[in-house]
Amino acid sequence: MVSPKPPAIDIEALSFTYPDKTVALKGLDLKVADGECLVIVGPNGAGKSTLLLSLNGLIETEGKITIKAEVMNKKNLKEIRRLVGVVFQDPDDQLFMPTVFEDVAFGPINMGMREEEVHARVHQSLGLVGMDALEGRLSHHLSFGEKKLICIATVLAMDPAILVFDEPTANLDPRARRHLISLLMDDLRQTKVISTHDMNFAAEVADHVVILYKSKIVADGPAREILTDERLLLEYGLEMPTNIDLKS
Amino acid sequence: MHHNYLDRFASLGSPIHRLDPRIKVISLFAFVLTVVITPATSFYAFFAYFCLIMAIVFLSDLPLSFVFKRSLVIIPFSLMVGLFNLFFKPPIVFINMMVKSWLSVLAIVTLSSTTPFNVLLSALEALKVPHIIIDILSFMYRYVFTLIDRVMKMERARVSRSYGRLGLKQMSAVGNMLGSLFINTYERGERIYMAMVSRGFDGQVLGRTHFVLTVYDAVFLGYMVTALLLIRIMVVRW
Repeated sequence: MVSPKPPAIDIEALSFTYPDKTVALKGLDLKVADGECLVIVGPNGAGKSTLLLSLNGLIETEGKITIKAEVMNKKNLKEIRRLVGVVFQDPDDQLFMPTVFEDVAFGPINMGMREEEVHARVHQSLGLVGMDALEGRLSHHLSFGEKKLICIATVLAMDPAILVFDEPTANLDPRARRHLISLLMDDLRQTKVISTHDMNFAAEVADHVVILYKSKIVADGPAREILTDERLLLEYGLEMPTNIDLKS
Repeated sequence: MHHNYLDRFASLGSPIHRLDPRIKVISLFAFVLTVVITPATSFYAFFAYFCLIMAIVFLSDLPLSFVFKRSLVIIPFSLMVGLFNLFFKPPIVFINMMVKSWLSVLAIVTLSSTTPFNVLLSALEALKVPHIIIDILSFMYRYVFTLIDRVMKMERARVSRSYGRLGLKQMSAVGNMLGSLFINTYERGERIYMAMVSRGFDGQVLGRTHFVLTVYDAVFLGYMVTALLLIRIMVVRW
């Protein structure tokens, strides 16, 4: 797929080693086209979460990351973090303020918005995920599915161009999972990067699939091509999706 | 799991619930201060303070039994200090300590059960309590529930493998539980920090709710201060 626009994310020779010398990423090259949905699959410990953290400058990596034509460096991290919104795996990590409102307002307030603007952003993003009725609630009183959607709202409130999700369907019940899929497909037009173990979910949302295995990219291509290649998937400890409803 | 026992009655709509939380905090301090500086032998004064706090409880629609039960949590602590004092000082000192601590706790329970915790935090912020303290309290309130859930799950897992009773032999299991709980908490702290940084956090949690004082709030504070002064000056003289 050749896009006329420059890629939303351009990663070159990205490497990362944890302080205890564990190698997490080894020389990754990856391009994510503007507006597409990239799904990263791979077994546990392959480096998926680390790769997602690097997109937000949350870990110090080697190599070059370009987000929307801006090369990430220490000076523009604040702007990069506004452009790239990360939805973490455990909503209890992301909802750290006492009330839902305060949590969704956290990003906009840090961006220095005025009070009315903050309110508008909070209403708009909670409305988009269908959680506007819960604005005044305490985060610890919510169900897991509600927490997940509100996490997405906390990120949407910063109006990012790229959305990053770390295993978004983990622990969701079927109804919440369906809701999430329709949200991703119909309402969120941003460029998306999603890591998951849920192959059927990948088949429903992905335009582009990458297999990460032992800190390296071992396959990179259109979703249909990779998700129908059973031998490739089995080789890297994955399974073929059981739903044939693949996007072309 | 749901733990709403911390502020179960905090969102009722009584006249006391509707007060500006800053006024409530100031009134609480005025009350505790006045109680503490009242001479130990002024029993009428203590009775009058008790009536004052009961009047507020009555206005707040809180169940009396709830307020009394909550206020008992302080008894073991004040009893310990108080009993110790009995050896060295006349009994009036002991009675004095018990009465004053209990009256203060009654007032604190009334405040905390008529104000949602997050609103209380905003009030403290508006009253210029340092940010770091408010942030610590805020995180504590948010994550105490997560922590309790964690402990309950671990305890269940322990019980399911060790035939019930917690004997001396199982102490090492408890030690391991505490250790893993610590590591768990530490790692969660790191993940929360990343989530904060990723949404533009750079050292300070900014802007909570703003309050507007009304005439009603001023009148309540006026009543409160007058009542306390009257009791302190008039009753103590008797």
